[in-house]
Amino acid sequence: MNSKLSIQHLSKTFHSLEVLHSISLQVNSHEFVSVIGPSGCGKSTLFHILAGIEEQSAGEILIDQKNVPNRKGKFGYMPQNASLLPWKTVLENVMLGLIVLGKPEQEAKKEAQTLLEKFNLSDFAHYFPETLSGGMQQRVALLRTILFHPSFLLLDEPFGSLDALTRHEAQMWLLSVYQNFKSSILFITHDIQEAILLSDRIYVLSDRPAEILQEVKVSLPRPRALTDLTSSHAVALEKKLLSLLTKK
Amino acid sequence: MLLLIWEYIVNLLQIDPQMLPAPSAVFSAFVDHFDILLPHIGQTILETIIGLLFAIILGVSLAVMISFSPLVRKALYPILVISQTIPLIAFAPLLLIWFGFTLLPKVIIVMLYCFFPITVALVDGMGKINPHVIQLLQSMGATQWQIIRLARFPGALPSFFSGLRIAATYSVTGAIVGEYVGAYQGLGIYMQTAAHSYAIALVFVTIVITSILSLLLFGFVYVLENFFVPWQRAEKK
Repeated sequence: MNSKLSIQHLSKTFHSLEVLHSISLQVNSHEFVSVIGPSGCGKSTLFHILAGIEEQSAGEILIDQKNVPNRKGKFGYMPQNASLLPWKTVLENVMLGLIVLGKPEQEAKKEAQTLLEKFNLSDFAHYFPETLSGGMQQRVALLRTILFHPSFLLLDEPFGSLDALTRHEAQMWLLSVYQNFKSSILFITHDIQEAILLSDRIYVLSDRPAEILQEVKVSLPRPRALTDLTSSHAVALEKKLLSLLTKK
Repeated sequence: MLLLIWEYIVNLLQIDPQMLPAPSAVFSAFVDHFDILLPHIGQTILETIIGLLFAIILGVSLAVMISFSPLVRKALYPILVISQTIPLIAFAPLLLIWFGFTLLPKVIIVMLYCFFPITVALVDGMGKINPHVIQLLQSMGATQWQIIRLARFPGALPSFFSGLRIAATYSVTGAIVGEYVGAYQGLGIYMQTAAHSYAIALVFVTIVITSILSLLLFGFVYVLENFFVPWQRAEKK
């Protein structure tokens, strides 16, 4: 077991409102793991805790099997809103993580440029984010996240704001990035099909206070394609997950 | 167009030039008195620019203090608002008595006239910084200083320029008010002297010059803004 991330009995209470209840989950090396659950159940809070923005009320978080109390900078965290800095160009946004880490600007620029070229976005290097479409913005934010910390990504509903067609494109694009960088990914979504398409395993969360209802394994071969969603395994899985999510 | 109508009406109704001079009269008065006017214009510009610079320093400092401490905000904000209700034209003679006919009282008046819009706009802007951006930087392990440099400062620039635009528009008037009360040089005292001597054309000359100066300053701030805040221009494409 190559446990990259192990969360054990994690709980979080805000002012007597319990948001997370004894969450235990694990992500192994180069695994794509999704967390699905109803809106507002506390998935983002889980990520805030992992990324070091919030403190847990109880429970342990082990990164590479070690307890790490200060987790800032330990993950490639991409919040739900693209959070591109509007006052920086696409190139400057992609290199943002490296700048925060203290890398010299020239080096950071070069790395960012290489990444943009690799994923066909170099034409937009000097554009400001406001002029880009939602899909483009998410891609830029994803590249920024990867450049900062390619080995482990925390992605909070990155495609939630995209229309269906753009979302499918972006999902396939994410898969290519995932293969390319051999990342471990923890992915939040409320879209069951998206979770099935992308993941190796899926954790289902309940409504607030969120606890793990079930863990399911997605036995589809890689590389994935959209057509995989029509396979009998995928359809059965979808039915199962849907019933879990809609049960009261 | 407006000037032509003005010219026409004055001639038609034979208006007393001491009541309302024609634009042609104003222009010729300007040409005749140009070399006398120049040092006065220079003086007013000097007071305006220096006063505006101090207003920026004061305005930004207050805004930063208010933004970072709710205690300071509660204590300071009401005092600031009240300070703006005091008619500066009443305050100006006091400054004159304290500091004499020097540059300082005029600079102080411009500063008092102009710092408030900068402070208010900047406090507003700093409060509107997208918290998701701050969280993102925190998750990357950014220091407080990095967060200020990468997010809080550039994020607040558009609001700063908003306030600066307003302040710039008032700044020339502030200088004039300061001079009006007493000065050796400057458009304000020139205007007063002209008014007392019933040289109404010259009064109009100074009014026009004042407006032009204000417009120039406003335009300059606009140019600065486009340089320092290029991303807002991009949005409008």
